[in-house]
Amino acid sequence: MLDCRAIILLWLLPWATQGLAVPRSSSPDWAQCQQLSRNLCTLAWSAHTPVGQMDLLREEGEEETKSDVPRIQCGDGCDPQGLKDNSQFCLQRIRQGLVFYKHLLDSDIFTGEPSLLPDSPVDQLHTSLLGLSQLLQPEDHHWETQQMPRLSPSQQWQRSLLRSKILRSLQAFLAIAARVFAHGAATLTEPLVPTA
Amino acid sequence: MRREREMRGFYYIWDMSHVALQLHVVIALYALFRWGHGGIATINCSGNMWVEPGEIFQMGMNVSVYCQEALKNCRPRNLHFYKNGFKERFHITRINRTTARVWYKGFSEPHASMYCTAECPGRFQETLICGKDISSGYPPDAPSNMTCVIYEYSGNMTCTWNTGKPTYIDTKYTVHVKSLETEEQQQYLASNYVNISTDSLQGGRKYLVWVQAVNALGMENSQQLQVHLDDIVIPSPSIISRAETTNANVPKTIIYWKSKIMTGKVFCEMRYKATTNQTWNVKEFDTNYTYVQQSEFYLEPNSKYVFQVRCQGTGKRNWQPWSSPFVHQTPQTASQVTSKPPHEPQKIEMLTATIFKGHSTSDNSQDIGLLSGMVFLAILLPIFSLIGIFNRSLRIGIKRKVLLMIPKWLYEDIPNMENSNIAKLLQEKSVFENENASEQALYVDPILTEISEISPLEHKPTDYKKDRLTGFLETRDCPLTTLSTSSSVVYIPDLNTGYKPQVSNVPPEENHFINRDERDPMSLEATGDHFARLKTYPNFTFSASSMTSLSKTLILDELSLVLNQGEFNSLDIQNSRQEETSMILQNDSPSETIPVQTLLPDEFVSCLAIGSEDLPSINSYFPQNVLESHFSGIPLLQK
Repeated sequence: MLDCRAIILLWLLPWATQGLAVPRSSSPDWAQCQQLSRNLCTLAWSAHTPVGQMDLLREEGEEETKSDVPRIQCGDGCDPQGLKDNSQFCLQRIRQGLVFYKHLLDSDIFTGEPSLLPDSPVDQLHTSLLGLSQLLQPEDHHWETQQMPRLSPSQQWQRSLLRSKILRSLQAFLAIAARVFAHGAATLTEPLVPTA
Repeated sequence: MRREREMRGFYYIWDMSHVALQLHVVIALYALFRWGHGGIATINCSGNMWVEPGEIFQMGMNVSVYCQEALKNCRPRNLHFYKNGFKERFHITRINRTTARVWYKGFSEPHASMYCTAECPGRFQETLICGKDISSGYPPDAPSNMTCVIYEYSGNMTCTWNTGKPTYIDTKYTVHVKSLETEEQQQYLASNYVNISTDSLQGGRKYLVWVQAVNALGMENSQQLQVHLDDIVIPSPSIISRAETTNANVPKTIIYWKSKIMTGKVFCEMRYKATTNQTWNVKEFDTNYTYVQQSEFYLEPNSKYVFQVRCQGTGKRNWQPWSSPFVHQTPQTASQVTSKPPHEPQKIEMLTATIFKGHSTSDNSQDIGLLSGMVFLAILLPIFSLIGIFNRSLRIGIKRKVLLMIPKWLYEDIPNMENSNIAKLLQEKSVFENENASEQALYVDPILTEISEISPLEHKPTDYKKDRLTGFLETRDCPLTTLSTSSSVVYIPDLNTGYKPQVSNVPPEENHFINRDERDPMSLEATGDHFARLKTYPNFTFSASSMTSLSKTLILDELSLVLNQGEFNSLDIQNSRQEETSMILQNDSPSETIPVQTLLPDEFVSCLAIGSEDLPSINSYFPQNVLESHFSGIPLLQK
């Protein structure tokens, strides 16, 4: 029994330490992150304008399932004091969310029938998500593939509902992220020292 | 006791840590499970939806879609149906408290996404119950017109068939291949064709092939096709390699083509048409195919034609596919035909037994082409004749060319001493007497020598080599463009007859003159950009170092010819025998003006100097500016 627990602990050790392995030294380009997050907000809102029938629809028990989605919460250090102390916890959380939503945009929910309109901004949204997540990518730190949800194939009737649901959730996430980057760009950007 | 208490405390601590560890593991596993679940990417149904007669049905049928809610905390007032995102308003029936139905008459959409919602009291938003994708279509038709071929070198047997009318729903086709020799049967899944590797057909050469079409609404089989693998080979297409049009009275276009595999007796078709035409002309023939074939056509000039060829082996069922289109442009006229040398003449096998069964359209086109060509020539000949009659410059040019070719004595009015054998004999003798070894070499390849100026005061009548005629030509009044405009018809005067001896007043030390070289008499050389020396040997040549331009050489050759055929008067005859003509061409002394001296009255000379185009080519007298402009162009040619 003890051996069993030891094995489980050993198995959980790398998983538990991954969240703590945040480099403290690297600091993002806050201004660039701010610009990209603004663009992402615009794209997400243009990809889904919440005026359709889908937004008047709810699923029973969806309030509970919302906890599945990567969300920026109080303990993530995205408050002003947390950003000042160590912004990497918050940035890593944001990056997790970006990668998560990018993974959803890659799925058959968005790629299958019914096809998106040719001028849909979802493609651009996907590219911008990738760009911002790469800005926040710590070097030599590849772990996001282990935490991606394994998506089961969706049915066609489900996709329009799921697209609406995902894009609404992404809009909320990006709104918070944009506020974080705006604060970071205003307060955490190191002033440029003029060279002699 | 104490020890027991210590042991109890130890176990208590152990148990507490044990519980805490288990709690951590449970939390971790729960978080991991929840993270991997991805609830945002799934739809939670709170009920059920079903379709009668089924989710896939025949197009045009009446369809009922049922929705049954199973909500926990809702007693729905209404159940709503949505099709492709739009709420349905009609034909909705509430069957009971939990179930409703929407009915469609003659449903004809290939696909529709349905879902239903519940309107719960106290909720602004509708609550999703569930959804379904419904499809309508047709059972498959029996596949027809099944064919199986083996494209040569492909390594596959390709079977195709007609699928019939669209089914609108997912339909699978299964190709069955059964060996007639081993009874072994193989199946291949396909959509509307299949490629079966010939390596997998190990059951002999004869097979039965058929295809079975299956979808949710039915199943059909095609007729069985019996194939022999040797009979279904489609030979690879021939390749038209090139075309050439021979230069003959009636231009003949020869098309060359070849095939990698065709050997022996074959029956071939070659079709061709003008690109502006829609109708193919087909030429059919039997031939003995070896390597390269050729076929002849009489085509319209200045037209673009497309050629294609195909052949069928004797006793074979399948034709080659048509070769790739080969486009050939016929020449404009017979004199402009393009004729390429045969690329592989040793490999070309002539058509040995050609039996032409050309369609009437091709023969007619050849006849029409011949007739139109004759009419075209009949129209053109009078036109050219009229042009020759009325165009003076053309006439002069023709006359000049003719005069260049015929002997001089045919058109000389006065016997020219220069052409007499006695005069030539004397000249040769005189030349021989004065030649040394270096002068002999100059006949072959004159060498540029230094230019010396001969003053008229040095004139010694007793030695013809020292008796000079020096001409000084100005270029001030003759722009260089004159050369380009008059270069098409070159008027080279006879220096011996057109000038009086011209005396230069320029001091000898000046550079404006070409100095005579004692070793190189009567030669004309272009020295730098300013000078040229003219020699009057009957067969003179120019120094290769200064006359590298072909065009320049041609001009000077022409000059040589004209010089030799000019007319002489009695005084000039004497001068030609005893004197050499040296001309100095100068471009960079426009300030000097030296009057032209001639034996003729000035008004006559000025009349001749109107323009180069009006000058007859054999005129004995010429304006200076013509020759001057001509030679002044030599430096330009060098550039």
